[in-house]
Amino acid sequence: MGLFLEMGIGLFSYFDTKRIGCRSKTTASVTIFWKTSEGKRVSAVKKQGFILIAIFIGGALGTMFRYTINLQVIHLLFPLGTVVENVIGSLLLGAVTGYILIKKIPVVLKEGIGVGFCGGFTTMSTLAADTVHLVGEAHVESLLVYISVSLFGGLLAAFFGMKLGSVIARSKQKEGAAE
Amino acid sequence: MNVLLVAIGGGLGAVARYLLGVWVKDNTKQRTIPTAMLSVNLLGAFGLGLFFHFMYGEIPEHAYEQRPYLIFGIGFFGAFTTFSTFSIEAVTLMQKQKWGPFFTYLLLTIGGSILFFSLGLIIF
Repeated sequence: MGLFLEMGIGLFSYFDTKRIGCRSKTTASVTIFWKTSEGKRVSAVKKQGFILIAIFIGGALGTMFRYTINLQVIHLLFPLGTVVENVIGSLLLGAVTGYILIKKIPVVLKEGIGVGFCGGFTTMSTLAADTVHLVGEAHVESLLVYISVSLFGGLLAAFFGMKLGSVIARSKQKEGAAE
Repeated sequence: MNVLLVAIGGGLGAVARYLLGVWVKDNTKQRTIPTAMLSVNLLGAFGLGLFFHFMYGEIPEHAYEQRPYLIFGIGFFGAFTTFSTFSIEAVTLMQKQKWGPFFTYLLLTIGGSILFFSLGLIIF
């Protein structure tokens, strides 16, 4: 309950403002801010511009792949595309997460692939829409298969992805040590 | 052309997700349950429901050639919400054996997204 109250207050204070703006001194730093009713400026997010560009490119690519897969299975009654994308995306993000726990990669690459590509490739809103659609069509079996495969498949894929990522990172470390 | 629309919507959605996620993390108390992605997914599901409501009045079935559907439905809201980060966060809670927060996060995200999407679809 407290959680939702906090989210609500957060949203309320966000909209109770005079002005929202975006300021960029150089491409290396973007600040998003708003002014409160007392005219006090609050900066919300200060981030390096090139990270935002990396996330944009990654997100665009991930969404293009998702769209392409959806087009291949559009004739099916079952929303197979979203299941496949969510499971594969979880595996990939798991691998990246497991890898960077052991071996560092440039932050642009990390955010571009993780937040951008994997985030854009997978989706929760379409999952919700597909579920409501299946409920409306009274496809109970499809609905149960859809939810359980998405959920268990996604979690299993994330788990094995993390293992896989750390195994790859360790073997690379050994290679590096051997040289 | 269609691919380009999808890409632009998706790129913007991903950036918006990142910014909102950072903002929630910076401005709310830290909790065991990852509230940043939870807020993003609930808001995005609600947004998609609203978009369908105002654009089609229902969940569209054969809209793959329609530009607004490509930009907002598949592109922006599709990329704004995410499943992969949800999976990783859920598995991390499981590995820490925080079963209460794990099941709460699962239920709030999946059930909440379905609920918020439905709300958007029927609210007006």
